[in-house]
Amino acid sequence: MNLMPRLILKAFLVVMFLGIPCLSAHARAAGITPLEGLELLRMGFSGTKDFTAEITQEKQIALLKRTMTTNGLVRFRRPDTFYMEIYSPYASRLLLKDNMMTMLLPEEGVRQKTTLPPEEGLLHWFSLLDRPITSLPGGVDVRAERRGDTVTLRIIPGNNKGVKELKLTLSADGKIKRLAIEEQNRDRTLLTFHRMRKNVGLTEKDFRIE
Amino acid sequence: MINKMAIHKHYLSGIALWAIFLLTAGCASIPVEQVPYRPGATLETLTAAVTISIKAPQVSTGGHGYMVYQRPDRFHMVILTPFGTTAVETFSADDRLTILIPSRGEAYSGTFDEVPEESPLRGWRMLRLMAVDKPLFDPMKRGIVEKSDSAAGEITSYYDGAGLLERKVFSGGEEVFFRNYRSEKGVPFPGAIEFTDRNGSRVKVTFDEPEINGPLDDAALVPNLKGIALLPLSSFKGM
Repeated sequence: MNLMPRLILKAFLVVMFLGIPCLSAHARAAGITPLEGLELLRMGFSGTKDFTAEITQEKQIALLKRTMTTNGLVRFRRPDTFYMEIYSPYASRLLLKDNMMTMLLPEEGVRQKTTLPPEEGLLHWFSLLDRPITSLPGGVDVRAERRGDTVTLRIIPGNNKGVKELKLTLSADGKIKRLAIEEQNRDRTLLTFHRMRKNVGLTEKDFRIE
Repeated sequence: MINKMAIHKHYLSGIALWAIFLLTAGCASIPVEQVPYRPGATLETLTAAVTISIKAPQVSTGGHGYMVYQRPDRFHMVILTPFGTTAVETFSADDRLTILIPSRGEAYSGTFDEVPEESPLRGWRMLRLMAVDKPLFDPMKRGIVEKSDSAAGEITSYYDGAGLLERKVFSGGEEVFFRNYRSEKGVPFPGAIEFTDRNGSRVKVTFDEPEINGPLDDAALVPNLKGIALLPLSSFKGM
């Protein structure tokens, strides 16, 4: 059983690496078009060979009226390696090497491997960084807004399944600050990125899931 | 002047060190007071963050999430992705199981017997065993207690010296282990429960921040299938 729905993974990679090649847009707000917002995101990653960031994840469970807060880190290295670690008490590690995904629950000794379709692999997504976004195909709604130095991108899938809305907050230079995910069941997850550093020279040993 | 500043800094450092020492010493010396176990106190409802691992002969899986439980046998378990979103929800009551996969807009529903043989979810049915007996604490029981139950068959229970249930063995080959007890409002509550069956499946559930015997909204235990394609459980092929 793969506990990582591909849609979520895809959505995350899309916002992390610009992706979003299959989005439509019909809203313009506060002087920035959705296309400009996505291009800002893309530019934020241009010239990036690797990056690392600390994350705080706040999961608001609507059903239980409580919040689970966890901390961790993410790392990425071109061309195709992504690593995410969540610390105890909900420890988990995720390694994505192109389309080979490994998840480890270190305290439970559980390891899962999943092969994603090639079109969902990192090589595919990251290749999109090399060219400007010129059109927004159909499937979802994208809205962009700029307030001062902050740009907000709202991505609303049109299928009413799982994710209701992704809200991405960027700084003016395209650096990701926050990602809010609202689900159809009214649960909300807020991922806040801290201390994001680019081109720090990450090596293979920084991506060992063990 | 320099000497005065140096002395001042010295005192400040000393005070800071003492403050840290007293704080840490205080933390270490204050015991966490637990309400004594109340004989006969039972678990009626539960909400908790959980970590679950399922190890079956062919595959292992697991994740973090949360659980809602209502006696005698109603469960709602949510497993989250590492990104915090919902991966899968399971609802069970009596012998029925519903698996809801929100990202696919699909749900699979049927009896536990319909879960495919090779699926790690076969182990899910063992969750029901945690609710077979009540209470988990009986000071009059020590050692081994055997009984027969029309639904569960022969059951052998093992109690520790204080009367806490440590292990149950069912005639069907299943075993349940209750570990890391603590008192929640006087109700003995195990921090971890582990289930095994004769097929080699092992399910371990670890609880975090449990809320015991609080009010529960019935909607928390019933799947919301609005707009969801409902499929037979026998057709479930995994995530």
